[in-house]
Amino acid sequence: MGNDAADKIRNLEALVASLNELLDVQEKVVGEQSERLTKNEETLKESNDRFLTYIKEAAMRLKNPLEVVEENLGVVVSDIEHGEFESKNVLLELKIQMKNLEQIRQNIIELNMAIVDRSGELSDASKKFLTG
Amino acid sequence: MDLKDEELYLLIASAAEIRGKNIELIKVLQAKNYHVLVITTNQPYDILKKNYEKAGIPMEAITIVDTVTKHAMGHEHEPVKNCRFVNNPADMTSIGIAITESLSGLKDKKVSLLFDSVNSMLIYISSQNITKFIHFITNKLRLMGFSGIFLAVEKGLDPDLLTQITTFVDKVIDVDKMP
Repeated sequence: MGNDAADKIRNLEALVASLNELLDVQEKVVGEQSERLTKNEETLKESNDRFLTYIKEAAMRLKNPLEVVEENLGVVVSDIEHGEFESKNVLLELKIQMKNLEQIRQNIIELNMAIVDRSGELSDASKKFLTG
Repeated sequence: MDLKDEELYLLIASAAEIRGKNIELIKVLQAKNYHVLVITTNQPYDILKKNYEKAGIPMEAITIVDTVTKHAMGHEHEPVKNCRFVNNPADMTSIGIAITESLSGLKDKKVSLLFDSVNSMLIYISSQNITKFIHFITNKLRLMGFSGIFLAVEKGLDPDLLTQITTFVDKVIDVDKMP
């Protein structure tokens, strides 16, 4: 075999080695990208699940309690309209509704905190507003 | 309303009907010679007593665990023979103790517990904790051979929570679907 042929073989061997290296790098990059995509999907699913839990709990601990307060105040108003009330009982009923509203406000803060604590996209000012 | 001894029920009514159901059920239970243990998380003892007396319900066969009066008034209510006042509707430990002690004191009687209501308790307790709490009460009632009725407004409960509570009782009575 002549020198030319030997050189060509060496060049080809170097090319193959270089291509193999390139393929290794490509495989690594694709692997990392795929891992990142899976992580993003998991994060998105986790965020979505958290949001759904929030919505369901918020409906039960905000919407429904407000209806309870609305109904209770309706009874107080009706009793007053019909002259069927004693001041001390009306006072007690109203105090209970005030406590209920205080707790509902607390529930809003508590539920917001659950979201805010796990969200990196909110500014500190927004976080303070939602949970203060 | 056909209520059987030693059975547990979840009674679903609209928000507007739930107060009336409390009185209606006590009348039905007293007609069956039950002593009724009322756990109230919405209406205070003084209002319940006034409403019961107005409806002609004798207070002798009623014991109340009141979770709201002390919390709203900010101080003790004067002692009442047939009522235990709990500090706070969120204090499940104290409510649990009050229920346990009340049931123990009534063990020689035919007892039915009336829980009024799941919805108003949701103001103070998370859905996760309310499930555990109702499980605790239903276990206690079954062990003691007592009956119980849990009042709830359907629209106020998440279907998952409703399904969970349903597994703790023998029957669900939907007032709107009653003949």
